[in-house]
Amino acid sequence: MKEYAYFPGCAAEASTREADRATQEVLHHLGILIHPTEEFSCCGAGCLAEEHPRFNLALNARNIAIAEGGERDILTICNTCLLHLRKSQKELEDLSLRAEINAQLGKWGLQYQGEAKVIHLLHLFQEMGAEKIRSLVKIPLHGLKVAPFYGCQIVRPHHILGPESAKEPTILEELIEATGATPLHYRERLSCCGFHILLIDEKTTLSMASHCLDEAQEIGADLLVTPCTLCHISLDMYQEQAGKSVGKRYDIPVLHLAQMVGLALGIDPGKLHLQNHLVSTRHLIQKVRDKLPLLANGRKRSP
Amino acid sequence: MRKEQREGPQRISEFNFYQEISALPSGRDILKCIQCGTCSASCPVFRYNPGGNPRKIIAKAVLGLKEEVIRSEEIWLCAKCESCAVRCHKDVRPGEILGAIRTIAIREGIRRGPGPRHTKAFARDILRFGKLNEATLPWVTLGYRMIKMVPLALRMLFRGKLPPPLPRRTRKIQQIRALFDQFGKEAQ
Repeated sequence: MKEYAYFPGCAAEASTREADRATQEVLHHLGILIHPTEEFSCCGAGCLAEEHPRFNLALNARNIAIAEGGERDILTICNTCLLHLRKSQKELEDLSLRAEINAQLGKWGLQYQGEAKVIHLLHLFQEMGAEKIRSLVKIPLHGLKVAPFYGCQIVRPHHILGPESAKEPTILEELIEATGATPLHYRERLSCCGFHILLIDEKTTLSMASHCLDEAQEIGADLLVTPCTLCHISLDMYQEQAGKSVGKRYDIPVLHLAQMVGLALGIDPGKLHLQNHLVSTRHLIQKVRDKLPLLANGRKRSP
Repeated sequence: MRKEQREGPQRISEFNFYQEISALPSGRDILKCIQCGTCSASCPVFRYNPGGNPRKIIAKAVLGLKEEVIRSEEIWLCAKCESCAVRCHKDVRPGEILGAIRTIAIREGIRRGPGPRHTKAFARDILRFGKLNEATLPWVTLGYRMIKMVPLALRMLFRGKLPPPLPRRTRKIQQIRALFDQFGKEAQ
């Protein structure tokens, strides 16, 4: 089995730590080896590239070179990290630029060669295949209606993300189906949650998030699932405020991709850190636990 | 006022604004824009905030209204959703043009307002920790207005979601600082 250098991203090390823990738990369960790499730095998230374009490129060349040194591909759980690492790879196709950066990296025994792939957890599952996941499901999530929310930077722009980012991706729906739940089709599945202007223009972000949540609520979604740790921030952490901004109340738990797959694989919700979300996942956990008296540590709960 | 407007050099430098933009890799295609407005029609920010109008910002930039453009808050209103990039018929990638304009704004010393403060936080935190410091980002971006985030922070605290006060420092951070010395400074 292939091994990956694990690049969780700054958000998964700060306010969405549960995504990091759930991912590690699920990949451990699936027997996929990931190596948390303490030398990795931030990808710059596009902001650094605006202030210091060349430094940003050198920074990401270093990140990728570290993975290449261990002959590993990079696995991330953040859409923004995915896009910006790939953007840097694209720019590093310029050989003179690459040589200039490599001259510096060489002093530390690092070399950017452009061989490591940068993939997202969603791509990892795509590579494994939904069928393979389906065969491993212990607790089918029958009866749950799940709205997929891809997040922008894993589907756009195509000239950087390549063929994996089809204009109408279906992998998330396939995965939802593989877990036994029902994927819902709605217009906002490829929409923007507004995260990147959250601190700059909160009002607009809340409107954008509430637009997505509105649609999800209208089609009767029990929960949303997203592969992006940043979308999770605007959809979960800001859900209450998004509701208030339009005079509504939403109550839609938002799960990280790894958490949804983990639940179906029979991993305890506690180990997937579902309890860390701001939108209560208590009913959801109850539903899953009710379904599964078989759950390994099936603690009895008083009625 | 009128005298200032008549002064030659200033007007020439403004007229050259589009050249300044197209000299940057991300702004290369600005002159391909035909002002069709597909970007604004696809922009989810524009739907809720009429200020975030990419077509209009590009029009102003091509007209050479440099001061007005780089000092406006509107150039910072991009959610980086890349919708405009995939819909643009002329492959202009309007979002990247706005990025190039923001690069110029920072180089021209624009510091005030949440947009530039947010962008500049990245370089500062990366040189210090190698990572972004989410715990201080609201303060750095919003200043005293971050006070409105206290209720949210408390809820996060109860759910064990509050970011640690300091991010875990990247190992061998001196490499990052060395890269900055070589590649970060000359651009300024």
